Amino acid sequence: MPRLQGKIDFDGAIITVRIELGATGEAFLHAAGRPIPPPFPTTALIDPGATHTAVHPMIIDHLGAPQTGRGWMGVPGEPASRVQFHDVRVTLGTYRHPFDDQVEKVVPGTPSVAVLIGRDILKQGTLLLDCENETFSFWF
Amino acid sequence: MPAKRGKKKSEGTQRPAVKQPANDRLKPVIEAMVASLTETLGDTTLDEEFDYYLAHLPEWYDQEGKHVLIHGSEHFGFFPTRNAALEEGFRQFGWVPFLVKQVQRDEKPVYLGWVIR
Repeated sequence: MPRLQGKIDFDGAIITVRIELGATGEAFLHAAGRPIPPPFPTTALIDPGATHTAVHPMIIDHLGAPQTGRGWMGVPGEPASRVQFHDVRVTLGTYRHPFDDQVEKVVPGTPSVAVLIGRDILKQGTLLLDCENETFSFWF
Repeated sequence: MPAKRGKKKSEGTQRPAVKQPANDRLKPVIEAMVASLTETLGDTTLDEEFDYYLAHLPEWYDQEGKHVLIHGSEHFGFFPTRNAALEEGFRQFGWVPFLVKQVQRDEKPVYLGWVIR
């Protein structure tokens, strides 16, 4: 079982990730003989407070993923608003264990990361935040 | 005899030296977030499909849990998985936006930890 470990720094639990097109989209492009955009390596914040994973619009635009989902996003003090979703594949760290996921296209509110890993991915593993020692582990 | 209270000059809580005020560091990020949220929330792509889904949702309660494929104001079947619906969507319409939506009577909104509006 892959295990990611790291230190909780100023911005939180930061990991390296790779963002690619989702498996279905990639299969379509491959069958159509069209070029598949290369994966986008970047950093992500493990955010147990987020129900969903969010990816910076720059990365979605780089992948050219068409919008295939729409739902509601809740904002405190405001009625739920419509929000767009895109299908991508998220690979955590150096492990060859991708998560095909539907992600929101918004800018994370932390300067050092372009991705927020929400509970839609985290629920597929076990997350341990050791705040006393400022370390984290994620088994998946 | 009670111990003498107070701290030596070299002890006590000291604030760390701040190289750059937090507001300055976060300002461009907050501006980018607000801009992207405005763009996201104002995006009208798939409005037609989403309105169609909402209008027909009560008719589809017996399909709850399945994934409906919608393009324009028409639906193209229900699928057991999201990937199956995506495959069919790409096959029929190509590399363009279309809506794949799991039929849910009571859909919960998503929440992000960092949302400013």
